[in-house]
Amino acid sequence: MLSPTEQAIDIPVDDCRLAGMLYEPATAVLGGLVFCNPIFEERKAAHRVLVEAARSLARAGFRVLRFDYRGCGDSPGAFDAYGPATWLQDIAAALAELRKHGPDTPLGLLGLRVGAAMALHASAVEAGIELTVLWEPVLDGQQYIEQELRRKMVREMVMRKGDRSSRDELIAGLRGGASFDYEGYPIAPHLYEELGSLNPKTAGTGRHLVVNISHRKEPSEPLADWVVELNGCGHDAVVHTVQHPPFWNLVGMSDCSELIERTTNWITDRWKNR
Amino acid sequence: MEEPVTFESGGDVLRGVRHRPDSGDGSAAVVFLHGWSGCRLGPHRMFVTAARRLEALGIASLRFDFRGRGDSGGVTAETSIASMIEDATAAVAFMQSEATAIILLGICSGGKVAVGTASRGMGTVGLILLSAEAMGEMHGTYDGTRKSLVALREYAVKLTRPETWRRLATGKVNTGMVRKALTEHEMPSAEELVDESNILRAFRSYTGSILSIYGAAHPETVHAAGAYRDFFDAHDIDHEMHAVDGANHSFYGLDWEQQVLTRIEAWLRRR
Repeated sequence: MLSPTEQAIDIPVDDCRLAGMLYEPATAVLGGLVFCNPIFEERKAAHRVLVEAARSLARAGFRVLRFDYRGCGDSPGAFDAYGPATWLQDIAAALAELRKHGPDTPLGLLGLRVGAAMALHASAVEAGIELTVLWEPVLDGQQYIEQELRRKMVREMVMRKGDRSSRDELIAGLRGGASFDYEGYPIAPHLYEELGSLNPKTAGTGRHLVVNISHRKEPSEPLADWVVELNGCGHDAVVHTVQHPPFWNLVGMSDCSELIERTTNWITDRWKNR
Repeated sequence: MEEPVTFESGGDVLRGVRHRPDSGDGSAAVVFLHGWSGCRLGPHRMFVTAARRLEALGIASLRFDFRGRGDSGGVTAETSIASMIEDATAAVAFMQSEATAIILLGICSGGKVAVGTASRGMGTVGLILLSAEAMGEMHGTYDGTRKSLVALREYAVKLTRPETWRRLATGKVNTGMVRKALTEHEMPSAEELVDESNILRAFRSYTGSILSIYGAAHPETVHAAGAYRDFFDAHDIDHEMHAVDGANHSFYGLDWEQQVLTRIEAWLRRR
């Protein structure tokens, strides 16, 4: 049996080229998916899981494109030069690249955390997105960045003796145009603002699989409510729960085979009899 | 110039990015070795930043993923320190067509892999060890108690916050993970300890130079740094060691990262 192939590719956008990895199935292509990464250390911790998901989908007959946004991963640029506004353009460029490889292939998006929030947004503004898979999406950008700030402050209280920042100081600094250091990533005022306004309220007309990944059996209340709200607005969304620790936050390798298998099966069911 | 590359190790394809400077004499190249659960980016993308800075200095480098990690082939659960050493050996051979002097730069377990690869007589001229993990008999009596205390302190700080109590009350705190963080510390098996001690024995005659940098606020790293210093001194291995004050294991702060990169550049320039 032939195996899918993997090839590093460049994705042109504006005046630079994003680093991408294209997974090509050995069989007839049932659909194409662009993966939308999380950011900060979540991107590093989730790397292998996303690679394994891409390989699983390629084996099931889907063309997959994984890539790094500008200023992230292997792509060019400094992290603090960009933010979600640019990264949404990068997702559009990745979709355009995938279309080049199969103009008539149905397209979808799979995102994790901030990547999921951006994938949903992209599904509403990019033409022809038939499905999105949202792994533990960030539902409230402001809450997300505030939580990251709290984490920073807790770590500083433990690690740094006299050199700590208060939340108010950080916010005042941002308002004055200064960046702050979040675990080795510079957060510039524009990034803070753009992340804060990332609220996935609009979605495309395709189908949406929302996966709640936590130690609990039932989906979290905010996520379940959000899916009800989406469906109330005429969208077609379903929520699944996978009991697993937050692999995007863990040190160490995670076996996410259940998450990957369920995702692959859901996508296959949607597209196989299209 | 940055270009994606592939090479083979143990029958699997390893993927990486090669950085080639436009200028420079082509004599030296750095091979980056990530930690156990990392990838070619390094923590907080530090390897990318370092490789780009080295490229600007005229030094080539290779960032790659070990087998079972990142974009490389292989099975995730089958990665071992031995397979990582085999992969690093293949990476050195791959880069020997680029430069005559190869320097290995490893972080955490990658430091251990650097020592293991150099002990095979691959002709590496230097090692840069960032918060290198202890090996073999270096573990000594270290049992992780201080690491537990640091974790306990972090949880104590979290308990001063109303948000934590809200999460506890609504069952959102994964108590199993908290217990694990406080009580379980990964230690090599007896067999791994013997293998690592054998590597150290072979490494005693290493003739290259070593730059070692570690985060001074991480108990395991401080223990390991002391053990490495004693080992290098005992066997007359040329080395210099720097602590980054206040830094955690993987230098998660822009100022700490800057200190590490500046030290590395200065050390490389002197060579």
